[in-house]
Amino acid sequence: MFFMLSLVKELREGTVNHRRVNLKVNGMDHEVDVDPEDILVDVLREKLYLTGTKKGCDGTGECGACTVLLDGKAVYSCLTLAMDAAGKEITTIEDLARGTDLHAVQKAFLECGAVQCGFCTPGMILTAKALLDEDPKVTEREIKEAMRGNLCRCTGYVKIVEAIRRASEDYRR
Amino acid sequence: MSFEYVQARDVSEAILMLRRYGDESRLLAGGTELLPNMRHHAISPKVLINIKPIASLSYIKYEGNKRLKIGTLTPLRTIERSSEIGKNHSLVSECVRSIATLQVKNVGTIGGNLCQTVKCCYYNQSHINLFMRQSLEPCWQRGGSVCHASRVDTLNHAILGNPSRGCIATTASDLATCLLAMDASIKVIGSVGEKLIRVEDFFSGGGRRKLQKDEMVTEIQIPPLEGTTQGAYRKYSQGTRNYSILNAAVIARLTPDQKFCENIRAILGGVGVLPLRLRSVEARFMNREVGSLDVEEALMEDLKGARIRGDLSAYKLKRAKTMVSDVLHAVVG
Repeated sequence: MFFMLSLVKELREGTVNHRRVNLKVNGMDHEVDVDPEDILVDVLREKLYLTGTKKGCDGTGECGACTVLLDGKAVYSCLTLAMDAAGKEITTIEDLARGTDLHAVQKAFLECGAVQCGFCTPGMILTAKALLDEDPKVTEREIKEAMRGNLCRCTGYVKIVEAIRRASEDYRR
Repeated sequence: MSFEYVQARDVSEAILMLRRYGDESRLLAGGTELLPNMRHHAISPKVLINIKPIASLSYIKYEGNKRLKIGTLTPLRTIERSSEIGKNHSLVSECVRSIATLQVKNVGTIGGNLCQTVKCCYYNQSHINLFMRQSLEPCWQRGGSVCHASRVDTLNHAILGNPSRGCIATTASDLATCLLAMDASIKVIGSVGEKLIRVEDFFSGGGRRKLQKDEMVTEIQIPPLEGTTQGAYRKYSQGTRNYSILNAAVIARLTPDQKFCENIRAILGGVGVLPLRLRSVEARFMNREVGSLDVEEALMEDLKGARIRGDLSAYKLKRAKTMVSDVLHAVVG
């Protein structure tokens, strides 16, 4: 009912901006109806049910929990308009493991105990993956610089940095 | 947050759209600053003109004489990782490295960084402050006639010079300080043609630029640095990823034996509404032998009239002095 009322209001004001866009998420094409103000994290979670991408700071680009890869680069999906993501390759945490075969970064996180409550983990892993894809020979300083966009309130970062170093060794093998 | 979304395919189309929608529109480049501001209800444009599809505005190139040209839509991360910039204009790499986070730099652009608005807890800082702001009368930035920040002792606001249309928020762009030290220019295109504005003439304070409604930044040009020129950049912020409270950039050309300073530009951001050129400090070194690094007296001259309202602004002034001293030390040894 509320939706109908708002639609009628929008039709009267001539501000209907819904558009059908094609989002390529984890290699699959999805046709979704979006409004200009829809942000990618909401579309991923609420329309495509990919709830691995977390929403922490609610659209201000502070916590990094919503990090996804856009054409291989780590971005905050809360600061990305869904319409802007059309035509790009979107990778979420759901795409990393192949069945029970985990990605090198995921394995390293488990082995190093870099996961506690797990809320920040998808964002952490995707940022780390983007960093290592860019250059597997990262130094500790570069890891710390790259990870400063992801907040963790449990583990204290030491294990996370250790896990990424271990993953980088895996990458180089 | 409700708006119309249009896409520009080239610069002329973007300018036509700016002319058509005027003040009700905003250019959307990276969006990492614009979108949070819209979510915080600091600004509510009716139209967003997406200029990301203009691929021709994303480039880094060197001309024959090593003059660096960076397209306005070049992501900050691309600039940070450019080995050519790291080699020939390392001050830019150093500055970009200190900005925000990997995710922001992957989409945030150099043009967007220069054209961002001010950062003030009374204007656009967070959801919590949104409630606070709603209970206060609107400030100058929001169409009112009061500056709440000027009534309190804060670390983030200007402590020197005049406000800009009532607002004492400082220039948020880190690159502004760095580019000012490098005497860079900004190429702007509008419906009447293109022009080159020097960075020191580009900002007008309060998060505004000296741009017409139908003009947009298209390129940043940085002059070549001669062989013996050295530079350094320092930033002080709360946390490594935040906007700077203070930043300083110094460029100096020394003789090969490092004993004589032939030219110097020293810029301090965060103390005034606009980055401040430290002319007395420059005069202390210009065409002189590099001797003692005691710049206290020259700095006192440059920072004369600082408004100290309490411990925070007193600390800021002290920190500014130390920072300038550090950065000079790094350059002229």
